[in-house]
Amino acid sequence: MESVEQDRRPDEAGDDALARAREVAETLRGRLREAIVGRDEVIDRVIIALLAGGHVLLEDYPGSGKTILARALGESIDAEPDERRIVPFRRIQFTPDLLPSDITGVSVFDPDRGTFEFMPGPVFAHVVLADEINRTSPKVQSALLEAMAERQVTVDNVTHPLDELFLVIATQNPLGMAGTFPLPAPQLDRFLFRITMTHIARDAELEVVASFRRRLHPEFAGGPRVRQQDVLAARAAIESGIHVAREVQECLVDVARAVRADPRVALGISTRALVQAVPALQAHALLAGRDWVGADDLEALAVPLFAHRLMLVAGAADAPDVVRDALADPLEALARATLRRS
Amino acid sequence: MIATLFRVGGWAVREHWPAALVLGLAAVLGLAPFATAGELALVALAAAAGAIAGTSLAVTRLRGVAVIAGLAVLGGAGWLASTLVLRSRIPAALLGPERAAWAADAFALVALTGLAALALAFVSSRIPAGRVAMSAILVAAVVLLLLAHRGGSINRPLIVGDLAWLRGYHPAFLLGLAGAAAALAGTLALYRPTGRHRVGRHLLAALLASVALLLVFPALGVFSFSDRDPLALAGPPRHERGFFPGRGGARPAEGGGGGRGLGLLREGGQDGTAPEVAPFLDDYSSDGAQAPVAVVVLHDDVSPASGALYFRQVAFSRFNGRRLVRAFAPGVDDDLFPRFPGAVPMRRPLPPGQVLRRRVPATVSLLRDHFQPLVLADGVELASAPNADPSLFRRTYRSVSWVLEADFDALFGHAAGDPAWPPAVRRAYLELPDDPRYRDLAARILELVRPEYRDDPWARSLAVAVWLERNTRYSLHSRHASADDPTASFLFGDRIGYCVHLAHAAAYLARALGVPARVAAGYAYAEENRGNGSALLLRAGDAHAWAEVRLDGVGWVPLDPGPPSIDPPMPAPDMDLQSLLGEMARGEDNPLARELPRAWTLPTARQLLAALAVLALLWLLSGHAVKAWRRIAPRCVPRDRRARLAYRAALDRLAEVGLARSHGESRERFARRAARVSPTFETLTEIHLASTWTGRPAPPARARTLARRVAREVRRARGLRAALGTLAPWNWTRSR
Repeated sequence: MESVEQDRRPDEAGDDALARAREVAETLRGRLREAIVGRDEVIDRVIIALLAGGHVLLEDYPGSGKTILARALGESIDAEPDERRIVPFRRIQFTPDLLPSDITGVSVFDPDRGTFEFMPGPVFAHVVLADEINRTSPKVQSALLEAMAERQVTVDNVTHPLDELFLVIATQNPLGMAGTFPLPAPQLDRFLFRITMTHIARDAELEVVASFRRRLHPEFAGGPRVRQQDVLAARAAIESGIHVAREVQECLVDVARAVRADPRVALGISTRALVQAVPALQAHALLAGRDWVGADDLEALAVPLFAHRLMLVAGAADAPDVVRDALADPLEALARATLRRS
Repeated sequence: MIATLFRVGGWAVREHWPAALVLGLAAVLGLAPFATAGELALVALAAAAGAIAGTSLAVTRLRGVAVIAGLAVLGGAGWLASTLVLRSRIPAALLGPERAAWAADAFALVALTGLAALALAFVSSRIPAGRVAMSAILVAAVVLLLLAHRGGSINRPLIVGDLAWLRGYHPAFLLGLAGAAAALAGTLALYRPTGRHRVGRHLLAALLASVALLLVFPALGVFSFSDRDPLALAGPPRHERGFFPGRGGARPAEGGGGGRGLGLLREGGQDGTAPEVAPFLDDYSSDGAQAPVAVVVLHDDVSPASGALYFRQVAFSRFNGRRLVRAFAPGVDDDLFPRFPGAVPMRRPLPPGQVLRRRVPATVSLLRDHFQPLVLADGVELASAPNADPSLFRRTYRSVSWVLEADFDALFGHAAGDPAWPPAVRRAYLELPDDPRYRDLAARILELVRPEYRDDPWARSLAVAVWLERNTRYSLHSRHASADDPTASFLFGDRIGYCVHLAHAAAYLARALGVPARVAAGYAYAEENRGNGSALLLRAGDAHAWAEVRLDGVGWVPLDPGPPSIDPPMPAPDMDLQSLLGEMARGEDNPLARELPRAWTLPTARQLLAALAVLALLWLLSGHAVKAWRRIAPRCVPRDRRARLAYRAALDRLAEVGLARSHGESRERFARRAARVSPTFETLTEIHLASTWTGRPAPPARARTLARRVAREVRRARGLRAALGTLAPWNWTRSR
């Protein structure tokens, strides 16, 4: 294996930027793994979402560490000095009586100046934890989803841009559906990933029990942080530096088309989903230490990328199964293409 | 509990019935000739159950070695149970001895077939190529079953048989083809549950396996396509024959030879035993002496100095105390053809003295059954030939003979015997009765020879023949059969006898004079009967026995004294009949064959087999050619394609040990799977994919180094499998 490392490293101009991007990802990964034990895959997905500029929907049970995850991610990013008073992390607990302005912010009358001044809501943060998003009314959900899609909020005809990083980690409890407003499929489409979490392994749980006091300490999350500018630079580097071959794009499109053609599917994958998928795949390749997107990235991300966007006909199987079934033929074509291409 | 068992059992039967069907059928077909109906039912059930169990076990996580070991234990237990039932007294007391024996048989049979079926089904479910073995077994069972037609004991498909005969096919071959087709249909059924991607390939393999079986069977001599009348189309067998051709009637046994012609025909005795060849009998009847027994077509002109053509069937060299009989000692009389030729021509070494001989090819068509081929002396090659008219001829074969043509003058001056003979052989050819009268008579005959010729073996032999011609009389009605030594009774009694007496007398006298001699039996054909044609008609009355002496550098020389006959002479053969039968033997006058349209002429079985063999060879060679090219291609193509082809070569190496990417599996995933055998392959895959998806050229030298390392690792991890994989021609098609 003497020179394998050399083969991996491309000697191109964007190599430095890519190396720095990888450093950012590694730093984030290190910090998050320090904070949360036994959730390496979820951590990677969240980092991918951050680097790809997408949002995450966690299907989770209470007390599984999602707040800690979101907080640790937010606090890993050094806020730039900013007049908009951006904070690293906000948590919104969604309740049925929440109002849109509770999220976006309100204009408040300043008696000293005699003007209305905009008081930014909790969405003005690097990382926003939208807890139990299905417990609030569709009106509030729409306000958040608009903010997610547009990366801006409009209050009293004034548009306020959100933080450039702005990552929403929304959670919903798959159990206990009474009194909830389930998100309709078009709204789910705005999330890059849906991550269904399972209980962590025994060893990891043991470690959590053993070390939770230390972790709760505010000074605990040690190690270097990353600057907001670094994350933005990493996004740019990934976009330009990670190769997505034509055949890989074809494979991605073919997966989507295969899903749509599946008789079990009522509503298939949108084109927007494919557009969102490309940076996510690139970010996954970066985390894997590659500068090219390949079948591994597709296989790893297809289910979290696509499964939540499907509406299946009544009585059909799991959406993940549908996606996995659709993968086989395009992956076969992709594998064959590598021997044909000269 | 019971309900669960039923559910699982039902599932297993639904899923795996084709395997059960195929193996059950194979067991029944294979054992049909040997087993009773009850046993067959048991065997079918056991094989079907074993097949279902085997295929069901194959989908579990059980290790193959564990299953096979378990089977061995179970098989041992079954055998033990069978032995116990047979040996212990309790079952016999409970069931009665007959039923106990039957039960023991059933135990052994069920254990054997059931466990064999289980093992086979298990292996073939785990290893895809094993299905080929399964269908091959079905083919073998069908072929074995059709072998049972040989005795004519099962209903014979006469229509198929007649048509096949007329076209030069052996019916067994056609039936074998039908069996192979049935087996292929069974194979199709086998592929029903899982077959998606590889049905075609495995069908082809099954077809080739069937063809190979059809090729291998005749090569092993299990059955030959030109074996004599295997379906008894020409009529019911006259007497029992052993399983192996040429054994049943070969051993001369004392018995009532009630027929004609020295018992050379397969007429058989009343009690079903084989007749004695050239027996000593009194009162030979001359009825039916004109009956034709064989037609010989000579393909070259020949005129032996003796004036007669000798068709030798057997030779008698061993003195058994009463007469000369057939010798079975090694090296004695091994120039003969003891049985008819099969698919493979039979050859004998060339006789010495070729300047004295002429090479004569001939075709013999037998009109009557014979238990040994009659071959123009001295035959060197015997091959089966198509029967021109199966309704008339029992069998046709070709022979090549070196016929002694030299004048008697040329035979003087040769030593007796053969210096290459070991002493035991020489002794066997010089053995004669203890009776001193033979040696006295021989000494007296020697005194008649002129002194300068007395040491010459041929002069001594001629003297014996001349003395016998002058001093004896020929008659088929003699009085010596009941004597202790019929030859002595003839020679030292009334001196009236026929060819067997004369031949024995000549042989004994020649042996007494130190010339190795034997008695040959067969047919002798007088040259003057031949007319102008090349066809000879041998009649029952031409059956003959004569003495032969061995001269160094000449070979066996017939010594056939012809004393004056006191019987009425046998008339010459009907020339018209002789030429007519000759034409029919050449296939020139076959009304049945003429009726069939010409376009219907199919290739003969032999041509078909040859074509198949050529195809198989092509299949083998082309596969290996492509394989070799794919292996050396990374060194031969332009630089920019080398890395890719090196990767492909590594894929081929893995395919040789059965590691191939499955449908829908990504290259990365396959590399991780293959890393157990070759860790380097993962690196090679990464280089290959990186260069493919980024467009950066991969370093070809490095790729080739890695590919070589993969090959090394594969050999190290799977040595035997890799060696076998190298031999297989087409496994590169699996690397994708």
